[in-house]
Amino acid sequence: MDDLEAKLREFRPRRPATIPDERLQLLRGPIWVAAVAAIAAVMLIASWIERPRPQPAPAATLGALTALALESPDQLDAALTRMSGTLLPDVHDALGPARQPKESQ
Amino acid sequence: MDRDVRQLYELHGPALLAYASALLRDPSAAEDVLHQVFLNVLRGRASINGAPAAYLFRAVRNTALNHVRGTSREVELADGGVWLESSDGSKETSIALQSALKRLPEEQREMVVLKIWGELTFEEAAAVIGIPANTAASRYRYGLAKLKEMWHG
Repeated sequence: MDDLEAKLREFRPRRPATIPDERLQLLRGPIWVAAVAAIAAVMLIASWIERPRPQPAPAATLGALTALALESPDQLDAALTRMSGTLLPDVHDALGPARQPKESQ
Repeated sequence: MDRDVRQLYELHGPALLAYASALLRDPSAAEDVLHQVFLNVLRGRASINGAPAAYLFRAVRNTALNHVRGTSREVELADGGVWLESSDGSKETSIALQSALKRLPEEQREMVVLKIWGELTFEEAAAVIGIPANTAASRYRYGLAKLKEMWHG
């Protein structure tokens, strides 16, 4: 039996690989969170850059509106709507022209 | 702390890997188990109480058994890497011994590995497994006797 034990002891257990770096293990979670946050930020910025910008309203002159009506009649209605927002009073405002008159006492 | 744990890894790592390999019969899973035990200590999730070697063998045993519970038997037996290296470097000799060990009953294989490569006394090995020392001794002797029949190294 002693011979067998001696023979067995001639075998050496394999040396294991080094322990994975603890800091890397700990960082694995935050790295993923940071990567996802970075991707989300890039997508947000890209969508903000590419969003359709409101077209500037043409100058509110009869000449400009006539030219627009002749060159791009399909855009005239949209241009008038945009202009009206800057020219006409806001009827939804509490102090606007459409407010209810106070009842006289 | 960090350096002490790494020194323990250097000192006991090979024997612990052999023990985990004997329990799991899958060297790569055994290495994962070993790393898990040491990472738990490094992160402060587990602390070494008493003799470090006894604690580490016990921790490897518990972690390996938990791993077995969560793994199917097919996966467990699939791998066949070398975890014992022969002095002449022959892979065939290593595989022959590992194969003979694999055919031992689990409790005898465990005792042979703890005694021969873990270099634990019967009392220490018995404490790791949670059995009386004389049971540990008889498991070891039965294991060696069977190994003598099966393996002609």
